[in-house]
Amino acid sequence: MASALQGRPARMLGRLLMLCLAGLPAMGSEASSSSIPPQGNTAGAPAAKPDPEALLIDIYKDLGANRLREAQAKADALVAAYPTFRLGHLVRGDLLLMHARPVRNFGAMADGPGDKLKELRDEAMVRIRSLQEKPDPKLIPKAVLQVGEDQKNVLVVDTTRSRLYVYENQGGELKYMTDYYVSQGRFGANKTKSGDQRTPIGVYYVNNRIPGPKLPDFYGTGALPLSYPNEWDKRNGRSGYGIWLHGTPSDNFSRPPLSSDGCVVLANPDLQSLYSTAEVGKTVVVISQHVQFVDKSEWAKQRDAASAMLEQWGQSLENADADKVLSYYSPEFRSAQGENLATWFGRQQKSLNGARYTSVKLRDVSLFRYPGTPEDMIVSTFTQESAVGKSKNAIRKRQYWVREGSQWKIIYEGNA
Amino acid sequence: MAPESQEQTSIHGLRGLISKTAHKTAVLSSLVAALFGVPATLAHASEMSDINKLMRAGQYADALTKTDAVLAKHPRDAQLRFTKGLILAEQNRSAEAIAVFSKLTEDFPDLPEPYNNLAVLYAADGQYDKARAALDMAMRTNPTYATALENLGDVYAKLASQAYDKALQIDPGANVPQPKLTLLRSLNGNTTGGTVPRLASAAAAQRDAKAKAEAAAAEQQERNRALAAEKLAQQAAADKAEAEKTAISKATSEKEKAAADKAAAEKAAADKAAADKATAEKAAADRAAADRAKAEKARAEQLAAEQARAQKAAADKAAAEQKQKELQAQKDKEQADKLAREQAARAEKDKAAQAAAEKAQADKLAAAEKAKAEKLAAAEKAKAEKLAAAEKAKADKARADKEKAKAEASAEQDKAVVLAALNGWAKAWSDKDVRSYLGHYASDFETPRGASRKEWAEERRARIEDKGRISVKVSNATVSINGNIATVRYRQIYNSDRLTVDSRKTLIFVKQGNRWLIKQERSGG
Repeated sequence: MASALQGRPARMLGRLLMLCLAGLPAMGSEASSSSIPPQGNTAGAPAAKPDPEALLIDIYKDLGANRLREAQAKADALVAAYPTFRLGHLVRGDLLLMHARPVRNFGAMADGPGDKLKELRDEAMVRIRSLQEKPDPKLIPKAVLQVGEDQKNVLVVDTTRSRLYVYENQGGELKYMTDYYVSQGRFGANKTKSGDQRTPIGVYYVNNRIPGPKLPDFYGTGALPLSYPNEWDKRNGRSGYGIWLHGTPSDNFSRPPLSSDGCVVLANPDLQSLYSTAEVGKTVVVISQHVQFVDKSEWAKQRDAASAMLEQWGQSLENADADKVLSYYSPEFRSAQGENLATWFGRQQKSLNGARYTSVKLRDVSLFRYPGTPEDMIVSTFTQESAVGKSKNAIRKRQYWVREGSQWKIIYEGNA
Repeated sequence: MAPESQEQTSIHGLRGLISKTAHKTAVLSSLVAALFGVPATLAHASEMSDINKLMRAGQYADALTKTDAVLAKHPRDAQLRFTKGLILAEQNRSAEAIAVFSKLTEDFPDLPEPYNNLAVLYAADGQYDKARAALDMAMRTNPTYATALENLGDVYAKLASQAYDKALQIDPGANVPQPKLTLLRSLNGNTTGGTVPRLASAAAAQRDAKAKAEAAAAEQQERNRALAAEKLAQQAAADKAEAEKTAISKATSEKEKAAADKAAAEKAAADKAAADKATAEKAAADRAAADRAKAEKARAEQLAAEQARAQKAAADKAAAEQKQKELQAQKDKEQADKLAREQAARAEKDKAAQAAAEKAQADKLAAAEKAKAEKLAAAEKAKAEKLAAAEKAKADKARADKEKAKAEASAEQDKAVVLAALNGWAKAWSDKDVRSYLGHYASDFETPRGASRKEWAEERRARIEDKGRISVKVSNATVSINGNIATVRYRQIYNSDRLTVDSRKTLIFVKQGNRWLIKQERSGG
């Protein structure tokens, strides 16, 4: 009789969940196990705590399938393991309330504070959807064209999905590792100025590592400051500072999807996992509004094209033909100092003192399709090793390329 | 998982429930028989077993034919009709099965099983509101479970609110009222716990939790109750002593010990007469005239010797003691009726004492004149008793007749007034006007589960104030008035933010002063 009795209140929420969860159980179980973060300290780690998000999704699935007893047991286990996971408490409250009256929505509390309830509901929806739209591990984010030999991994943030994907560099190939729920700025993405409480869209480098003990509790167990505003942001007049990846306060396991001042916030265990592998000046964080994925052959094609584009530019430097070199630059070119092409190029030529490169080699090349720009844009970062006669020098450079007609042209070049 | 397959799963779940119910047929059937003592059950036990065999073999068509055949002979039989409902459900003839179980709930509103099966069928059909109402009625067949269920709901709601507090970081305790759970005031369930240990242990756990939460309150109530009982006992003792004193003082002036003993004996006899009043009244009234004639004659013939007088007194005393012992035992047994009966008994006692005093005087007169056989004296005594009872019965009857006549005269007018009272009561409830609501109940309202008036009133107050919104609609009311008592049968649609119940109800109103007040509430109609 109990199941019939409980069947009714569960139904309405169940319907809602079925819509959310439709068509994903096959992937679900796989995703649940794969989203367990890799353990940094492998020193015989004891039976790890359950992955909270996998458990949460299982609870919603049970709910959708009318398995209320199982859902309740999991909710109890979830809040026991993660007592500050508010969404866990919310779903547990819903499950309990079903015994007393019908539950029609996530967080059916009669007269709870509407804003807080909405935030938790949004988090629930975003987490459920992330499972639904879990990337195929065989696919690769389109934005990541090539990672340098010196880069261990690359982080890709999707602000629409509130998700951060981790890819590992395995000999130039990208391998999907895991993904995490993240919070972003209160007003979403597309940061343009200081204090707008938005998260920037672009390609950024981790430029510091701040351990938890040096931080206020609010930032959790560590922080990875990003290179916002970068060259492109500055050129576009975007202001602001202090965009970090960081953790959560000790009393709150995870924050609502839209809640930061522009930072990307992760649960502490997830942040720790990123923190342990992040390298200053090397680890790239690509933040885009909607990450697109492509299959391996398409990715390889695009990577090769971008790579060839850069190589041709490099080879052009070995010729003394200035016009040939200049053909790689856009009339819109501006240097870091704001010089136009003629001024900047003149300065470059002058520094060579009439000599010419005998060889130009590029190494540690990374290429990213830049997110959030209306036209195609690629940012390249590399070390240029040039020889003029017997003198050699190596310089770390960054360029922004845009497509003009059928040609890719450089609109920014500077030291990185 | 596609929504379609989801739907499928839940239907299967319910189907499984029906099958489970079906496999329990034997158990449920015997329960039905036990509850209603349907005498036909034994008569068609073998048919029942045949039907069960067919059902187990999945031969539902044959089972149905057989059931219908037996039903033709015993059309009201609850067990057979229940079985028929099960077979129809197994055959997926839901509409017919629903009809069978619905009729069963009408004819046997106290049986939980038909409601349950009705709920399963409604749920399988997606009619969840009806399923909920049916399950609610199933729980209400046992007030203990209904209360426990309601309490469980309150505890779950409280747990949910604590979980929400943690989810939303609300400071707990701030403006969150504690749930007001209802204490059961008596034990009317299965006290051994032997047949349904799972339920019993669950109830024990529930009780433990509640005991902890409300230990102080319960203790206080216990103390109050003990105090009240003690007071009542003292009052009763005082009344009794007074009555005895009156009788003795009257008798002593005439004839000291003998008369006093006799008065006591008479009193005991009168007590017994009161206890047996219901049956005695009628017989006594029939014989009243003859008895009176005999008594006159006996009195005229009375000539009692001083010695005989003494012997008789001794015999009377022994008899009185015996009778008092019996009466005491009876009194212990019928504690529930104690107060009402004692009041009646006291009135009788006064009369009897009076009669005894008169008789003692007559005895003395007679003794001075004649000495007669003790047997005659004993006969005289018995007759005098009967006379007293008969006179009272006659007086009661006359009074009742008069009241009845009067009541009938104004019955039609009263019906309208009773209906107005019913509507006023429903409105007060809907308005959550607890003061007015409680004002519709008679001072001697028969509280459920033997709770005291105060406990009951508090419980009602808590239950009503607890709800955000209440609507009580009354329809199809029929009133029948008998003297001061009005019985109202009606359909009640109760609607709160937690619960909707559409049910048949019966209210017994009693006229007190110029108001009709509720004396009793019953489910079913």
